[in-house]
Amino acid sequence: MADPKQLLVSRLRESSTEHFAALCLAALIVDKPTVLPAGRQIASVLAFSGWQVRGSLTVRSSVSFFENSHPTAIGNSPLAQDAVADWAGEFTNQLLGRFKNKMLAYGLDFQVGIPVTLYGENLIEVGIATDTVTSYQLRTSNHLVGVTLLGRLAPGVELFAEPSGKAAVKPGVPLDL
Amino acid sequence: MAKKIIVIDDSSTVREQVSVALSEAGYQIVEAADGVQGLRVVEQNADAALVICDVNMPAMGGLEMVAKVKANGKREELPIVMLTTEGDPALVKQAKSAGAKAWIVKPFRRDLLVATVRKLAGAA
Repeated sequence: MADPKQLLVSRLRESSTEHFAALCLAALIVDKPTVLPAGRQIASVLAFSGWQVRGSLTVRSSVSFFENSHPTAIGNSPLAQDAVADWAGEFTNQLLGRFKNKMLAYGLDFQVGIPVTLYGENLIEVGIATDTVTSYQLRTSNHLVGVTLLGRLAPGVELFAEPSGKAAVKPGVPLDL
Repeated sequence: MAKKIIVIDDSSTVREQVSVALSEAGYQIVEAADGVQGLRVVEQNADAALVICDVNMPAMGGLEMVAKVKANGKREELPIVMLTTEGDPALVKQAKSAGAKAWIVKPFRRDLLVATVRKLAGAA
């Protein structure tokens, strides 16, 4: 059996780089986080819960990251605030979904909640250290994006060391039913 | 007259992405933001050629909506494509039993989405 926490960390990091790549965003993981540049920021928080684990995923970056990465953004046309907020929530939702689908193969399953998106200046994350599974940043050419996974595993949870459980449908490729 | 596609998702970004992709392929789009609205829109658009539907939505989820659309042999001819972050084979099986014809995990590839719509609904 695998160390559950290590598995969560490695699969989330993998999910993050895949998610950015799928959105055509070149990004590298930064393990020693730096303070996000001052200014307008967005944090999107998405909780999840199952009998094996409960927690939340937070994605945080500058407003300009979400404006620039919005899938239908055209040139310099400004996006409405609610459109940017919706994208931040969907960005986080798709990242958590990718992570969830990976973890199915290791025997972990959970239900995903509804994203909450917050605007602010100089946002600071404050959490319970023991609940922090991992926290890192991804650096694109112009932005830093913070990813934090909080989680509490139920006592005695065991996960497969290798993908042995259900294989999830892969992203992007339509499956005929 | 362009064929009509109904797009049901609680994310305005996803609705816009899908609408742009399919509009540029020549289809006419009607949107809904949750399963309750989606059910109403499907009922109001008897001429719809296809539905694209999320799974996790407020008010009524996508799988429940598909089951209601297809209940008692109704709208048997209407293809429904699930577009969702979920990839659990158990949910896919549930969707197939309810009458859905395809499952796509987000983020979608625009060319493959259009190809799927063309295959199930015909050209615009």
